[in-house]
Amino acid sequence: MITFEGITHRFGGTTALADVDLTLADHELCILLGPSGSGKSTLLRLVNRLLEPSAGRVLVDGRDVRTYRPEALRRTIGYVIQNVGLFPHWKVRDNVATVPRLLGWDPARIRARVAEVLELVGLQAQTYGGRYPHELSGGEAQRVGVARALASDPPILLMDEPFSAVDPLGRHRIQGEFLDIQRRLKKTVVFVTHDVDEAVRLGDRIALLKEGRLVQYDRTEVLLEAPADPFVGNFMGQDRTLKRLSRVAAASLARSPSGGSGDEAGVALSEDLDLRLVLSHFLESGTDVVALKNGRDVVTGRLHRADLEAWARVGEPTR
Amino acid sequence: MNAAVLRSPRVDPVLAAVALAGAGSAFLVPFYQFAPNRIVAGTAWFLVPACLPAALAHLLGWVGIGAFAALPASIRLAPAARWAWLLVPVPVLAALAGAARVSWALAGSDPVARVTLGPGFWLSWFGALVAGIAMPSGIASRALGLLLALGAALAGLALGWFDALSLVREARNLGSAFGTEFTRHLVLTGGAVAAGTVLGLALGIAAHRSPGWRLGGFFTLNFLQTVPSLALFGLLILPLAWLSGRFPLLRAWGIKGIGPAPALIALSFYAALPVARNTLTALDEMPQAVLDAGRGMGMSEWQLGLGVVVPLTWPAVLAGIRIATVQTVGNTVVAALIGAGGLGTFIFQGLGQTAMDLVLLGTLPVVALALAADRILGALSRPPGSSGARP
Repeated sequence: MITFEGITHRFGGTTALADVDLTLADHELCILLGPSGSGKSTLLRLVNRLLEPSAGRVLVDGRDVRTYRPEALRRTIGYVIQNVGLFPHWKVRDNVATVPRLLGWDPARIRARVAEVLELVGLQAQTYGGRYPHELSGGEAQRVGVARALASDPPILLMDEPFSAVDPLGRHRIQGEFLDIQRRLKKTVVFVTHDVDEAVRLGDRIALLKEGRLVQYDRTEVLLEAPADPFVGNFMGQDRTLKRLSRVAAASLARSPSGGSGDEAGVALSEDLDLRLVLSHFLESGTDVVALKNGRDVVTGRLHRADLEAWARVGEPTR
Repeated sequence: MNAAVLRSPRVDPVLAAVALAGAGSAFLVPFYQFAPNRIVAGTAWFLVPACLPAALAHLLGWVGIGAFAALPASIRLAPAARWAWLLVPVPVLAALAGAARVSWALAGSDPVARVTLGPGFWLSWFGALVAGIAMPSGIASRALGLLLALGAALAGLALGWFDALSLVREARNLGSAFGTEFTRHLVLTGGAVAAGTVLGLALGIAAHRSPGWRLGGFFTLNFLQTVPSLALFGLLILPLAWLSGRFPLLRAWGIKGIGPAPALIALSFYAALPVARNTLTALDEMPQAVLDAGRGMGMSEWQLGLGVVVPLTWPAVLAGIRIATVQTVGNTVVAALIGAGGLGTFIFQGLGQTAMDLVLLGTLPVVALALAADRILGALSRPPGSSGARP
């Protein structure tokens, strides 16, 4: 658990953060969202003491971070940044081994862990371990960055706009892969971004900041359904309903597959598609019901347009 | 047939021109000069009447290189054609043999008579250098060719073939003074580069951290760079003489207005600038993300410095030291004028006595030192096994 208590941070004359109170739950991915200059990166860098607050304190699992030696604290917290910052003179495997080496692991354990964590981010250790960073594409470099942050298996991961330098297609893919990793590892992730779509896709919770103040902090669905003020509403976008739909899998609104094998045209959609894509299908085809199938092409249910519309109007009660 | 062959002109223009000039030089440019003593003006000797066997070999070498230049490109670029590089040392060897032969014939029995090497002799070396760069070569053929040319020159020196040349006679006259001044030159250069490196590194780091140092420090060094070295030596004489007079301890250490002390100080300032500039550029160009990531992962400042900053900036700093060294080897020549010694002593003595051989005795080792320093430091700045590890 990460707790910010009455955090104020001033750079020279400007106030980057003003009296921020925030508690981030374990095993959740919390997005720090806001326009540039809102103080989100500053807030993240307070956690591993790359910055010190002018007032207030930061607690990790109830302990004030100032009671740790900064280097010791940082070695227990994974850190991923926008420009990756791989050491250009070290091979990929040495880059990934950075923190385990700082922690003094024995070489055999480091070698095994480096291979394991590279596979985790989808890179063959055999192929990539011996490469230099300048031989990697942007997406590969950022995967190595994530692997490096996970190498010592830290409970907390700080990610400062990690995917924003990757091209749009690659970004979408790496986001998806990261979501899969996070579902398995359940790290406590603090994730800074200014990209609302990324926030909606990845965030369990979103803390929206504006000019150094915390405007709203809640589950992602709540920010989309019930923005606290017009700023939040605008920032999350006029298409909030579509964004809400994009977070829900079609299977969750399905009725049992009694009778028929789909709509009149015999189309069946994957049950893993999100509701936004199902709505797109309804609009395109003009139909009111569609069959859903699982990965083995077996029809598992039927989704009615009326159910989707009702869900979009009312919204599911917040879990 | 590959692309390089298709693009090559029918005749290699550089080689053809060098070969033509080289062949003509035997008739048109004096190779040696003979004077009955050191005072009277000498008479010029062309290679062709002076020593016909050497002239023939010289001509054959250049004709061979010219013929090679006229070969079809496909033959010139074939792997076996690299052995044609062995033609390059031929004119040089011929000029050396001619020098030995002519000097013994003209001055062998007369210790006062002088045979000096003329422009044609040096042009044949220069022409061979150009031809050596322009001709295709393999590692083996090049090594063998260089070994032949330099080996013959050194072996000839050792065996006394060139003892009748006035260059060698002047060197014999100098005796142990040559070794002394050579060592002195090395010590002055080494000391100045070492001090300049420390100063340059310190200034580069300071300038990276504070804008004041960046402005003030570099203004001072840039300004000093515009002051001619002789003037800077002169400017240092007064304060150092005064200090030496005030503090006997300094005098006991040999610090005086003239001599090695002011030379070393001035040379260090000159050496500091390239080191400082390269250090600053390297530090400024360190990717910020790399430092941020290193710190964020829990590297201490020491670990970050030694493990990341030093390896990433080292090539640029070493390049600065390389420039400083080559530059200081030359600058140290001038230090002879304020009594600091070094190879400049011979150069200025020779200029004073219009004894060009003495000037050469000072100049040739300086050139050799500068080339050697450049090569050695250049080899060090290529880290083994890394194929461009810079971002």
